[in-house]
Amino acid sequence: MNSLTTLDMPKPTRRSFIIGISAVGVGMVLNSTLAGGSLLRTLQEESAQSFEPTVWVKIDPDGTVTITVAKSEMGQGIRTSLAMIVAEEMDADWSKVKVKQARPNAGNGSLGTGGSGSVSGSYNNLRRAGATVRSMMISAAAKKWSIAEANCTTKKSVVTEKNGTRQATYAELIDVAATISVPTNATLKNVANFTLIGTRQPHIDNPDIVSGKAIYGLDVRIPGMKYAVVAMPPAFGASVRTFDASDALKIPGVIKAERVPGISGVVVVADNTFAALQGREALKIEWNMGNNVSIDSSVISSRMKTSVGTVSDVPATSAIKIEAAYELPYLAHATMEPMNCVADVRTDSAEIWCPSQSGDGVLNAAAQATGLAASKITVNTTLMGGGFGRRSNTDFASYAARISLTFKMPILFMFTRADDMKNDGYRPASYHSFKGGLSADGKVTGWIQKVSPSNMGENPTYQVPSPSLTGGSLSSPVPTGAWRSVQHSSTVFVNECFMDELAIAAKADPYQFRRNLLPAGRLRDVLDQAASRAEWTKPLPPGWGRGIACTDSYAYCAHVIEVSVSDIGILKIERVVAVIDCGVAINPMGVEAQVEGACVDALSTALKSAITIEKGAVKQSTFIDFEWLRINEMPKIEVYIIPSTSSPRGVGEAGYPSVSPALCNAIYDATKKRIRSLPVQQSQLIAVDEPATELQGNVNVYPSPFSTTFRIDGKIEQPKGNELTFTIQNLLGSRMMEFTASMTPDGTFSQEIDFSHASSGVFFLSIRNGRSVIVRKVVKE
Amino acid sequence: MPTLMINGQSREVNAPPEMPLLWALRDILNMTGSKYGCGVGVCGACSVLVDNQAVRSCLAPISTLVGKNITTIEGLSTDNSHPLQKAWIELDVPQCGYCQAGQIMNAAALLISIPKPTDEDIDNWMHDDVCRCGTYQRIRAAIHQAAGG
Repeated sequence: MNSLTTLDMPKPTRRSFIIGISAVGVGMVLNSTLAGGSLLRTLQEESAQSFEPTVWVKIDPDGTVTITVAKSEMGQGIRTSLAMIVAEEMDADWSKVKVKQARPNAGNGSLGTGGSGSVSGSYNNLRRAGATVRSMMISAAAKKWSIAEANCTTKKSVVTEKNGTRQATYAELIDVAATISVPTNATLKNVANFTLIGTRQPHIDNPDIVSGKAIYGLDVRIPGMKYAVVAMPPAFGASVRTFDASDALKIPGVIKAERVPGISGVVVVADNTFAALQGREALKIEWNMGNNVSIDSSVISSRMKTSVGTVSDVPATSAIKIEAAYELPYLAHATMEPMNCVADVRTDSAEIWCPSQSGDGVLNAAAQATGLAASKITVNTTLMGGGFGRRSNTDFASYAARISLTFKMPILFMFTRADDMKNDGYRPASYHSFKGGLSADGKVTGWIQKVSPSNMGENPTYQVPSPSLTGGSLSSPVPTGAWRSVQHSSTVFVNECFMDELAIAAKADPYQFRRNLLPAGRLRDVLDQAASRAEWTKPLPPGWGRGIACTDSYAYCAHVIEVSVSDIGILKIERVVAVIDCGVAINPMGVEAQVEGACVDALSTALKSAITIEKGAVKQSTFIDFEWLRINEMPKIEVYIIPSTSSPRGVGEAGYPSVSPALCNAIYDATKKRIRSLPVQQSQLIAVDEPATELQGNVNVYPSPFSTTFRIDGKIEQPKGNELTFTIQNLLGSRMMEFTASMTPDGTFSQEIDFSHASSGVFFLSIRNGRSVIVRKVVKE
Repeated sequence: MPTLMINGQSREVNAPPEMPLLWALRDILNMTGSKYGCGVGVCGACSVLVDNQAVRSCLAPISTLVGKNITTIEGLSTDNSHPLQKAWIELDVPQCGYCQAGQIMNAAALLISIPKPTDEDIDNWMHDDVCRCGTYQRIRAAIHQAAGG
């Protein structure tokens, strides 16, 4: 398997059978053995010009089945699941299936990969492709053996004669199959008879990934290729005033350090990445800082609040009225592989290699950047080291094409981690103001939301009377884009938290309150299943809480989360139960992976990460200040898939939206503290019912940040006994270290703490004396 | 021109001595299995073994590695036969897969040091490595399986 290899129309090897299937059900067969060359046939009802296949299937004489897929791989397992659909209907031997990546503009249909629509959008067509091949193999065997087609069965790329002894592999039948008319109405299997769909299949690219052979965008190497980085503007809207590249050009290996038309910054090209980065470091640039340097997160927050303004009232007849405002931050995509693209722009043609969710968009971007006709440009889609929506944009392809065009050399353009984090299309920040009303018997009487920006609102999926949603516009220099689950990452959080607020105000059980507002159906079923799997009514230990939330975003999904919050506000996620109904689960192993991964995303963004703006620029630069969950912070996630024969829905994003509301509803249950902004701050978590006694005194922690050891000393007031207990916990409450140490009778203490074994990051150090506690944040470099 | 011992082979590296190993591997020797994730040693995607210890190749200048045995993901086995590679495939650990070479190399160092790690050992050893897709639950299971547990 070569992950990079892409196909236009597949080139027939000797005696290969190749068929392309379009959305309107026509086929084309090529076979190199006939008439001394290629035979090209199309079905009568379609002309060759209008034939746009969306999937190609090739069978080689050695039995290898190659399936060309149009959608691109960012970790969602699409190369595996799309191929499984074809192989299922084809009755192909899965162990001999290979997958190749389609190119844009070569009769492959749309390559756009997003919105969790790849499986749901391709399912019928891929099934028909597989069924067409199977039908032709049966016809070929029947013709070869002079028996009725009804007397042939198929399994694992072999046709067998019913009640007979004859067998033929698909590979043995390809010559005969090439003489058979392509059927337009091949019969699809009954879903109940699937043998491959619904089985647990590891990703088809795993062997390449674990051996280091898989080719991502940054791994493309072509002859003569150079490495390019750009000194990016230090604020949104900043531009180069003057620059001096003389020192940069002295760095061995640096070839160019210049402006490039269409690129706002200074481009450095070198023989290798290290030289390019050193060259960039050596540039002296004076910037026009532009108009946004007075913008920071608080300005944007104020603008959102102003734009929302006042919210109209719920019906006056409401016995109980509540209101609440929620605010969410910008989020970066922070894919493991930063944005990059390889371009080789020549005089009259170009070739691009790009890790992209939008092969068609890359083609257009390259055409626009180079002035070449799209027909002169070849685009190869590589594997992506993560996508999450970021790679639906094509800015990085434009950079690469412009640089290659200007310097007339093949180049690999890349963002560093910091470039990537500071030049994203961010999940929008948003502000949501709610009013809700309840009747005396706890029925919802009103649901009113005003939101800014206006595209970040959505009415609840529940049956509430006349929900109102209006929005205000937001002026912000921060570019935004699609982020995993797009607006649902925010809308489901605020709606499901405010629904919980209504349930609490109604003195109702949050699960039953929701259930009563849902009609019988698949959404209510996943909610019920989540409550049941999580043993919703089972009593929890003191200090624990349980929260629930559900969503119909891409698929039906519900989460129940259990947390514990210590009396000093240390949060620990004790249990995560996820239930998904995605229709037919093509590859349950992949569905579970997506739900697990989406949960990690949601917990990371609920507890650890936000993008903030300072002086018109993004403050964060890497995984230290934009943190993701680590393995030691990972709760166990239980994923349950509802068995279904309904058409498949999307799973890449469905597992995100209901996690953070379930978490914050659980935090409320444990602490009676309502979280209305993310990420959760530890100071928000000290339980209302049992306020911690704060230890009084003078405590110093230094140095901060530290690298291996730090010292804590000081003197506490009203000491009890002669012992202090020190505990270090990470942001998710895992206890990293705990010990007791002595102090003098007047409360003086000094302690050196070796914390060299821990990872970089933020930790909480609590010092306890009797029932009194003081907490200090410590930062390890 | 430093000479390095990489995956059992002596390789002359035509690069300045201060070049971090990651760029020497990727851009000079065309060994692209070790990945760039952060460039400052906080994500682990570039991890390799140096004398059986996990090292962040994005921070290690090649001049400091002369005379040491470097193992990259390409040299862990020639046929995916290392127990970690087998477990990674079978338990379907990778999603996008970009960080997994680093995860596997760091796990390899763990198993050399602690052949039968507990969950706590795995947490303590592996928590410097970011997986943006969130495959941690499966990484943990795969390490246990590779350790024969």
